[in-house]
Amino acid sequence: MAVLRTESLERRFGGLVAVHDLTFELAENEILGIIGPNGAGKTTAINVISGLYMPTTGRIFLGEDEITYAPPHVRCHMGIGRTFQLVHPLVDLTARENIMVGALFGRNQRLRQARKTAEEIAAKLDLEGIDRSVSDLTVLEIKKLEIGRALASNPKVLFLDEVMAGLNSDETKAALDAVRRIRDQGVAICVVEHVMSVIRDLTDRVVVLDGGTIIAEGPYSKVSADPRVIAAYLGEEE
Amino acid sequence: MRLLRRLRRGQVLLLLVSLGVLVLMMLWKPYALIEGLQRGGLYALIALPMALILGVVGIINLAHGEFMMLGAYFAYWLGVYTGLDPLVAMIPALVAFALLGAATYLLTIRRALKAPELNQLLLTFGVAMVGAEFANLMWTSQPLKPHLSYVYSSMTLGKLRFGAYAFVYTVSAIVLLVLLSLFLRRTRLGRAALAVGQNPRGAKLVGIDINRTYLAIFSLSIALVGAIGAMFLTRNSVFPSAGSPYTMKSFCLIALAGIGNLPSVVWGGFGLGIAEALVLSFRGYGGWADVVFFAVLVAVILGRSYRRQTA
Amino acid sequence: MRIARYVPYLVGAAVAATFPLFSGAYLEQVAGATLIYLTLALSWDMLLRSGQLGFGTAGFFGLGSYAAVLLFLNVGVQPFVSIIFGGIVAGVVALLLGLAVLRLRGMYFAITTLALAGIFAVVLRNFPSLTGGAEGKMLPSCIFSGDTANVYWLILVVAVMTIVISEVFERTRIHVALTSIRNDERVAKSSGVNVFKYLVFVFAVTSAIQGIAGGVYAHVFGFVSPEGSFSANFLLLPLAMALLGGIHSTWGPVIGALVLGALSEYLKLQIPYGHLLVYGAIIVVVILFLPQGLSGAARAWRGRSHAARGAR
Repeated sequence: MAVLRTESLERRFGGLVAVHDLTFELAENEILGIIGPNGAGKTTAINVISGLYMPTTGRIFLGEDEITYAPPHVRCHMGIGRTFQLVHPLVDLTARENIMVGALFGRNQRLRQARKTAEEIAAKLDLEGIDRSVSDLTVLEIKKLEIGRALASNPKVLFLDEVMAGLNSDETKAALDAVRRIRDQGVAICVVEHVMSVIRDLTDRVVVLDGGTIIAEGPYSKVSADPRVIAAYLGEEE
Repeated sequence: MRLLRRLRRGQVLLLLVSLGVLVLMMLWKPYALIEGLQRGGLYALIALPMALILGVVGIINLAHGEFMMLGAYFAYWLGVYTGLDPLVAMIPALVAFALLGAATYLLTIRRALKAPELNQLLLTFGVAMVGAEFANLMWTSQPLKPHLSYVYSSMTLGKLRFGAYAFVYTVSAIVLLVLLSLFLRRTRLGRAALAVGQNPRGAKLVGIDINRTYLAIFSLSIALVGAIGAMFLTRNSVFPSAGSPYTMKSFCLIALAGIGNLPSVVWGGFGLGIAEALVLSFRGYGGWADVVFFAVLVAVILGRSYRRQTA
Repeated sequence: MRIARYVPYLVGAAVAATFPLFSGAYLEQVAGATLIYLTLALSWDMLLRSGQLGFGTAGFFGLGSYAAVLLFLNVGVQPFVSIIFGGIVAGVVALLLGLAVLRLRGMYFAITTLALAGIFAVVLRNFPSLTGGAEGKMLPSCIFSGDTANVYWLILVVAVMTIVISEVFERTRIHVALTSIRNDERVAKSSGVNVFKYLVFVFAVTSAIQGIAGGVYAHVFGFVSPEGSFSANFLLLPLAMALLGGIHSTWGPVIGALVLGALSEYLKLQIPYGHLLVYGAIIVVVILFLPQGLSGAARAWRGRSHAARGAR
C-alpha cells in the first residue's frame, strides 16, 4: 500500500486554479521527484498535502488514514514532514531548539529526550555547534537545520522543497548521500528540485507538474525525453 | 475600486436588505431610524479616514479617535478666543491637522513602517495615550461644549417632529465618500496611493515616491479627522477620553466592510447607528447600545475565521 | 562561581521579603502598588511572547476585581477565596473570548482586547442592583484592616507567583512552542505545534493572573467602580514597564516595573495632572529607539564588551 496517496486534488484561490486533478502515489522507501517550470504549482501542492492550505476538492491519504481536512499539526503527528523553500529558521531559538520543535511537538518527546534527539539528528546531518544562535549559522547550516527540524518529528513522508539550490558540487554530493541515508531509515521522500542532475541521480521516479497538473510521470530517463516536458520547460543539466 | 465589480451581486442584495430595514423601521420605530441615521452618519464619517490609511496604505492608527478629540478641542478654543463657529473652524482645523499629521508621521510612524504590525500598534497606542494625557494635562477631564442654537433646530415630517441638524453628519459621510472615491480614482496622488497600497515594491519601480505618498495620505487622513472633530463638537462635548470609542467603532466598521472597501464602511456605519438607536429605543436596555459594536466585531471575526477554516 | 550568579537573586529576594521590617507605611504602599503593576506587566509580556499583542490587562483586572468583591459580598467567603474566584472568572472569560477571537490574530485581536475594559465596564454598569451601577460597590472593610505590611506581603506573594509562572513559561517546552509561534506560525504548525491551543491557553492563564491582581487590589482598597477598576492606568503603566525593561523575558518587565514604579511616585509629586503622559512617551520612545528595552541594551552592551575583551 502506498504510504501517501492523493486523489484529484484541487486548490483554487478565487479565480486562480493553482493545482488541479493532482493524483499520485508515494511508495515506502521511494524517492519521488517533483519537477516543473516556475509557477507550476509544486510548492502549492506541498502546502496542500502538508495542511497549510485545505484542498478545494479531492482527497489525501496517509497509509490507510484520510487526512484531507486534518489541520497541519495533526498531519505532522501522523507522519508528514516538510521543509520550506525560503528558509525560515526560528530566529529567537538556538539551532538545537529549532530542531527540538519537531521532536517536542511532532514526536511528543519530553524536554530532555528532545534535546538528545536534536543532537543525534544534527550529528547525522554533520551540523555542529548547535547551541549557537541562528544568526551565527551559514546558509548551508540553516538548510541542514530545516531538514533536521522536519526529521525530528519522525516523519513517514518527507517533502524537501528545493534544498539543493545554491550548493557546490561537494555539498550536493554530501546532500545526496544524506537524503539516501534518510530514505534507508524508512522515510519516503518527495524532492522538489530545479537542479536536474540531482533529480537524475537521486530519484526512483519523477512527476512533472505544469499549470497545476501532472503532465508526465515515470523514471527520469523517460520523463526527460518526453517532448511535452521539454516543451513545458527546458530543464538545465548541470 | 477593484472590488466594485465583484460586489455587484452582493451590492444588490445589500440594497434590498437595507430598503427592507428602512421600511420596517419607518413603520415600527421611526424615531430610532432617524436617530440611527444621524449617529451612523458620524460613525461612517469618522471611519472613512481610518479606512483610507488602513485600506490604502496599510497603516493601523490607534490614535485615530484621539486626533478627533484634539480637533474638537482645537475648534472649542478657537471659538472661545475668536468667536469662530466650529463648522467654520473646520477649515483651519484641516490645515492645522494636516501639519500635525505630517509631524506625527515624520517623527514616529515612518520609522515603524518596515517593522512588524505589532510595533505600529504599540507605537500608535503610545501616541494615543500621549494625546489623551496631553488633553488631560491642558484642559482637565471636564467636558466642554460650545452653546450653538442651530443644533436644536427641528423639522416636522408628517406626524414626526425631530432634530434635523444631526443629518449634517449623514450627508457629510456620503459627500466624503464620493470625494474620497473621486480622489483615489481621478487624481495622481490618489492613484499613486492605491498603487502603493496594493504593491509597494511595484509602485516604487514605476517611479512612485512611496514615502511621500505615505506622508501625504497620512496627513490627509489626520487633517480630515481633525476637521471631523470640529464638526463633532457642535453636538457632543469633548473630554480627553471622548475619542477612543470612535477608534474602536471605526475599526469595527472596517472589519465589517473589509479592508479597502470604502462604500461598505458607510453602509456599515449607518447600520451600526441604527442598531444602537434600536437598542436605545427599548426602555431599560439603553445601556447596552455601547456593546453593539463589540458584538458585531466578534461576529465578524468569527465569520471571517470560519470562512478561512474551510478555505 | 555558580553560586555567584544567584547572589543578586538571593539578595533581591531577601530585600523583598523583609522590606516592611525597615520601611514605613508610605513606602510599603508604593512597593505594593509597584508589585501590582509588575504582575500586570509580566503577565502582559507572557502573552506577547506568543506573538499576540493584547490590550486587555485593564479589562481582566477590573473583571477580577468585580468578581472577587461580588462573591465576597454576596456569598461571604474568605477574601482569599474571592480573589482566586476573581482569577478564575477572568480566566474563563478569556478562554471563551479566545476561542472566538484567536483565529484571527494581529490587529483584530489587539483591538478586540482594547475594547474589553470599556465593554466589561458597560456590562457591569447595566446590572446596578448587583454591581452598584456607576457608583460601584464598597467593602465593609479593607483586607487586613488596611495593615500595609500584610498587604505588601500578600501582593508580594502574587508577584512571586507570577514570576514563577513566567519562568516556567521560559524554561519548559512552552518556551519553544511560544517562540516558534511568534517567529513563524507556519513553521510551528508544520512541526506539530497546536498553535491555536497554545494561544488560547496563554491568553486564559495570563488573563487569570490579571484577574487575581484585580481581586487583590479590590480588597486592598475596599471598593470597585466602573471608572476606577477599569482605569486605563492598568493598561498604560504595565505596557510602559514591560517595554522599558525589555520584553520577551521575565526580568525585563520586573526591572521596568521597579524603575517606573519608583519614577511614578516622583512624577506624581512633580506633575500632579497628566503625569501619565510620560508613560505614553516612554512607549513611543522605546518602540522607536530602544525596542529591546533596558535589559536588551544591557545585554548588547555586555556582549560587545565581552567581544572586545576577547579580541584583546
